[in-house]
Order: sequence, then structure tokens, then C-alpha cells
Amino acid sequence: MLWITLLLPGCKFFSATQSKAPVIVFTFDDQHPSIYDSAFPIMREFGYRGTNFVNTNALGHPSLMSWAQITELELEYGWETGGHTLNHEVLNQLDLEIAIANIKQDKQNLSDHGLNPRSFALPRGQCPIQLYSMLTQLYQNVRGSSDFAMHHPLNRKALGYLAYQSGWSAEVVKHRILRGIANDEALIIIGFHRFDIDDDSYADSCPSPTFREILRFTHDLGLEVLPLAEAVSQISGT
Amino acid sequence: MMRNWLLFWVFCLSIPVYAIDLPVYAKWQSLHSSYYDEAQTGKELSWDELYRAEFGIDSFRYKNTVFAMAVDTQQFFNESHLRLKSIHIGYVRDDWQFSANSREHGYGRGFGMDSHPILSRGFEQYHYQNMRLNSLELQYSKNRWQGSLKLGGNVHNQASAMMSLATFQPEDYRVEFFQEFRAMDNHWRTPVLISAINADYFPVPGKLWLYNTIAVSVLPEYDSTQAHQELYLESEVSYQAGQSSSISAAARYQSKEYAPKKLQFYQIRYRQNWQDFALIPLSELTIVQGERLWQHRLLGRYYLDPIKSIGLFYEYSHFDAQAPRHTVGLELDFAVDYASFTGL
Repeated sequence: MLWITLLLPGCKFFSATQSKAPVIVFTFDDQHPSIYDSAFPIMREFGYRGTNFVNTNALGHPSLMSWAQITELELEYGWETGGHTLNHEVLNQLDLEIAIANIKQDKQNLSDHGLNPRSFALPRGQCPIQLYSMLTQLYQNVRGSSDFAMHHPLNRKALGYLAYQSGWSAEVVKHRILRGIANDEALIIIGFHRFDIDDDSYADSCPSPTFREILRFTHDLGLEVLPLAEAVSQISGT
Repeated sequence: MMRNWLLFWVFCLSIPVYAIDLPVYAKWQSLHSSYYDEAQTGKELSWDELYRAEFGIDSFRYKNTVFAMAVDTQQFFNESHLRLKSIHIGYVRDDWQFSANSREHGYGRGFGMDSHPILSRGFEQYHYQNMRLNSLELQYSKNRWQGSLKLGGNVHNQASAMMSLATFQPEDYRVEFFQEFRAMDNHWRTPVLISAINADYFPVPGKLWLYNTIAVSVLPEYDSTQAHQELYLESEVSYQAGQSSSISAAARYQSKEYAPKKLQFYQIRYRQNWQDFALIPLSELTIVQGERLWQHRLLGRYYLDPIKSIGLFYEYSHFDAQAPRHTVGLELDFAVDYASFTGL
């Protein structure tokens, strides 16, 4: 009885469970200008809002999105902006103190521009375990880089996603979503990096027609599409 | 402070039952898997881990009081997330039982071997209209009949009133009828009336077993929701061919007004035992939105004892015109129960 006695007060009592179709989240990493120029108008066509994961030191670079574009997407169109380190540093390649300072400054930069960062994407999905407690105090949600089934209740601190790769047809993403429906998954995150780049050296460029076809598919299915923080909160009932 | 007081009082209240032998149990299930999807070019192997730990007390009676509970956790490696899976505290007098309950409630309990080797649907126990039901229950049992009335709900405004009537003959059949009214459907923010039948039937005891569930939800026009109905069907047949082999077939059909509007699922599996080892080939077809997903799996499972096993599987799956996905996995299913502790 002792172990029951000790553990009961920590239990989540009487929580509700919900059976619903999976919520879809579209994330956009690394502030490529085509996210604003190509993906954003298509997202608007379908009434969808997405999540940008940005490197705040890189914002404003001539070949990347500007602060004005990022803040416009969040403050005027309801997108979410999440942290992604200052310059896309891979966290387990940094000294711990430097990594901590990096993450804090990155979040501060977002807050200083009037944004409300609630989610963080690990560059290349890597993070030393010692950083998790600090990272999860700063952010509600942490997205990695592996694709796996996410059921209810979600582990907000270890979310997976499917990153679109150059050369994929829309069918690859559609089938990923259908697998999720067949599998009773609660959340499916599809990630994009850049659009309409005709350069084979980029492994993650999505043509606009393919992107539109994916969005039309989710739209025709009637699936709910939300920014990451809203999706996680809705699924978790918080 | 509040938590400390709660700990203290629960501890004090638990002392009187220390002297009683409790039917405690603990379970561990985990699945480590990795897949390579030929259609997802440019991607590395994906690695996934699922685990679920559960401990509890099986139904336990002391004088007129009945008690059962289970607590579990799953998939949270960097924080504690315990959940009260179920609790039942009942008072029995003659053929009547009055009880307080918190448990998952729904329809479509799934099959003997579900879509995943040992873990599926996250925490959810039922495929259809799964909800947390915190309820008061009045139950009457007499001979081969059992009736109950439940009133309760949860914090998501899902107030529920349910009547059920069951008739059964041990090792022969059990048929149960449900009629439920919920103030709010799981998906639509609208009231719903659910009628359901569960039937287990053993035409040849020990050899042939049939199981069927049918559930119909009627949703009236309410706010922006159009009046409509939903249908859920689930069936399974299992035949024990000999002492060491069995074959099963299962099917599920779901029709509703949100994605996926129609879902069909078919499964066939064979099981061959050699002493402590079982080999289970299995094929599944899921038709979702007109697209067909085929999954073929070969599972080998070694039993350390009847409630502890280690399994290895390979799965080949694909949509009709799509390159396949290859999945390999290791599954563990370990348990200890009252008999393990006491040797009973």
C-alpha cells in the first residue's frame, strides 16, 4: 500500500480523453524568404496558420526573411513564432553554458519584438539531456526531427515531425497523414524549409503546386490545421 | 502543504488494510521500433519508442466493500506523468452494488491482436466515443442477468447517463445492451444518443469464439451541426485449431461526418506455438478515404513464463501504388501479479 499512498497525490485524476481526427501542424524552419513569398499566400488561400521556427541572429539577412515579415505573420495573421537557436547551432556541439546562453538570448530576441514564443525546434533534432530541464522551463513544446506516431496524451517535450524532402510528390505526405488517421494519431507535424528553389544542392525545397496539393488534401478531408502551440494545447485540453 | 496532508491521511487510512493480502499487479510493456520508408527518399531511419507502465489492485472484496484501481504512465522520459487509469469503490448488499467509478468508457474494445504489436491508440481503451467517465453506478445482478445505471461525466462537459443490460452464461455467451445519453459528443459540440450491443459467443467452448460490437450515434441538429448518424462495427472470430495453433479474422467499419468519414479495417492472423515460443504471421488492410494501406507482419514471441514475453517483428507495409515501408521492432511484455508474489 505504501507505494500507492506515495504515488496517488501525483496522479492526474479525472482527466478527460478525446477521440478525434489528428490535428495537422505545418512548420516552417530557417526563415527562407520563400516561406513568406510562396507558402504564406497558399496557407492563406486555405485559411491556415503555421509555425515559423527562426534563428533570430539570421533574421534580416538580405537572403532571408526580415523581422518585419516574421512579426507580421504572428501579430497580424495569427501564426506562431518559435525558437530555433541564434544561428542554427547544433546544441550538443556547444559547451553547455554557451548553449544555455544561446537559447535564452534567442528567446529574448523574439520577446523583444513583441512575439510570444512557446515552442522550440531542436536544430537537427539534437539536444544534450542536461539542457532539457532549462529548455522545457523556457518553452512549452519542444520539437525534434524524427517522425513517429504521437498519441494522446502528448509528450510536449519530445514532439516528432516529418520534414519534406526535395523530389517528394504530394502523395508521400498524403500517405503519412493517412497512416496517422489509420493509426489514431492525435498530432501530425509536417515540416518545410524552402519553396520553389531549382537547385539540386538543396535537399528540402518544395514546389508550390505540391504544397498546394498537400493543403488541398487536408482541407478536403476536413482536418483541423493549427499552429503548434495551439494544437498541443487543444489536444492536451489545457 | 496540501499534498503533504493528503499523503499523511491516505497513509493513515491505508494502515488498516496492510494486514490484508491485496491482489496487486504491475505491468511493463514497451515497443522499440525503427522504420525505413522507401518513398521518403533522403530521410534517415526513424526510431520510435513506446512504453507503458501500470500497477494496480485487481478487484478486491473485504466484507461489503469492493475495491479496484490502476495507475499507469507512458512515453514521458523526462517528467513524471502518472494517470489514474481506473478506480472502483463499491458497496455490496445482496444482489445490489452501489459504486463510485472513474474509468475510460467507450465502444469497440479492439481485437486480440490490435494494429500495433502491444501498444496502440495511446492511452485510449476504446476505438469509438472513448471518454473519461467519472460516475456513480447502481448495479443489480441476479442469476444470468445484470443491469446497471450510471450517472456521471467529466470536466469537458460530457455529462452522461447510461443504462446497460447484460445476459450471460459463463463459457457460453455474454450479450450486453447499452443506451447512453451524452451532453456532448467527442467531436461535435452537440448532444448525442448512443445505442450499442456487445456480444461474445462461444459456440464450441474452448475452440470457437465470436465477438461483435455495434454502436450507433444519433446527433440532432444543434447550433451549426447538421443532424446526422454515425455507425461503428467491430467483429472478430477466432478458432483454436489444435493445442498449439489458432487462426483469427477481424474487421472494423466506421462511418462518420468528419475525417476519416469512412474507415474499414480487416485483419487475419495465425498463431503457432512451440513450447515457449510463438510465431504469429499477420496481415492487415486499412481502407481510409478510399486509399488502401497493406500491412504484413511476422512476429516471434518467446515466453519466459505465461505473463512475461519478448517479441521481435518485421513489418512490410505499403499503400497500393507507393513504395513500401520496412519496420523492425522489439517488444517486451512483462508483468508480475499476486500469484507471482505468493506462489498461489
